[in-house]
Amino acid sequence: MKNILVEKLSLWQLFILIFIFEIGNAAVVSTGNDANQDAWIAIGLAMVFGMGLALMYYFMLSRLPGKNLFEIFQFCFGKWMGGLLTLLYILYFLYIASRVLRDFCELIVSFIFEETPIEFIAITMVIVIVYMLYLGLEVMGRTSEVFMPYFFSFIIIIGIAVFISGEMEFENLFPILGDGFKPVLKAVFPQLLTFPFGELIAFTMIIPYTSKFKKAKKITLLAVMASGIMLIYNAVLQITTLGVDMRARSNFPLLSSAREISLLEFIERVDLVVVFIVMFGIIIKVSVFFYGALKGLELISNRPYRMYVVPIGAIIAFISVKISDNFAEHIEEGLIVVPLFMHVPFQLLLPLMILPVLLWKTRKSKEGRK
Amino acid sequence: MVTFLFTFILMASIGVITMFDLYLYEETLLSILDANIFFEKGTSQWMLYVNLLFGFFYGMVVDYRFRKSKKSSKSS
Repeated sequence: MKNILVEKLSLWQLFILIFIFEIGNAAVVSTGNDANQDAWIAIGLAMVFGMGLALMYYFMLSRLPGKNLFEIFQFCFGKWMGGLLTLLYILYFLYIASRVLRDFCELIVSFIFEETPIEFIAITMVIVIVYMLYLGLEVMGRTSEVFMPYFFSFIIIIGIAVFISGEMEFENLFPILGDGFKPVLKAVFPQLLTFPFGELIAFTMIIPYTSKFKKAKKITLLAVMASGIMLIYNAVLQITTLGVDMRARSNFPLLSSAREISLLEFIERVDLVVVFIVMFGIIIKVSVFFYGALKGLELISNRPYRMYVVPIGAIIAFISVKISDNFAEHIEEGLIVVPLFMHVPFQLLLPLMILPVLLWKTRKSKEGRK
Repeated sequence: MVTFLFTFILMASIGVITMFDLYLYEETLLSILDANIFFEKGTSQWMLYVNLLFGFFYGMVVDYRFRKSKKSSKSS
């Protein structure tokens, strides 16, 4: 393999990446609507299961330290079968990256640049992401480190500002579990578990490159917990500000909530703060999926992933627009098709099927060495 | 290799979105493929195709340079 660089991420960078990745577009579109006013409970429950999933992914990686998911496939199933699985995952990662990008493009053309073609927004965003990934994983880590304080504080400030504006009605959260536990479970499986928590599968391409792999487990769990708490905060903010029905109807509930802010009849229309949060979250999320796909291509073709950044970036921009004709279609696909045919197989079924083979193979290779 | 994989991934991705459209909407395969492959006239979708073309030619240049450097390293 030629010119393939070994990149390292610090544990703090890993924490930030997971935190921003998880919040990413989950903060934009409303999540856990099936649970109505108990969406925050559903998110909390999904977070616990998400931590379980993260543990499973880490366990797989810890069997072969330093190897990413695609290298594990090759170890378990050989070059051809492993290559086929890698190709499937590449398509999955690129498809999800395109969907995430579309979320952002829709937000921008609906609220900020109403006259600008969505194609232009998609291409512009991809150029930024391509540039960042071309410079490498470490640059992505450092960029997220720089913007993290703004990202975090803006989310918190929005909640506080809405509260001070007197727009929060905590009665909207009641009755707690009024319809029982069933709607909560319906919201968790498979939707909330797979989006955003199951999407951590993309980090199986990044965790092996952390400077202290052994501590990555703790950091991953902490990051999932922190992002889960932030999503709960977000859900509470949206439910108390908009109410259950409005939240379910709103395309971008966080943005609608932020529009309620009116402080001293002076600080109003803070939409741009939300757009910043979303933009950064989406840049990181698309980059992580994109990086995962690029590492797969690197493994398949035995060439550095940087060679593929520009061409594959063009495909992401293309697919993000072609994926659906309008936002309603995009959301429908995201709710019906994607969890069933994409998330569940790639996040749960395949890793669960691979796990016994991996355990058997690693045990066998250890015995062979003895 | 870059050009080949670019073309392959593009076709496979179009295949994936076509399958999902077929599953969700009661339209014929041909009409969905037509919508997914060609661009609608009068829209700004041409930008995406220009971008794809750029990606394709970039891939070709990368492949050419890679081959050239491989040849020169072999001869030296």
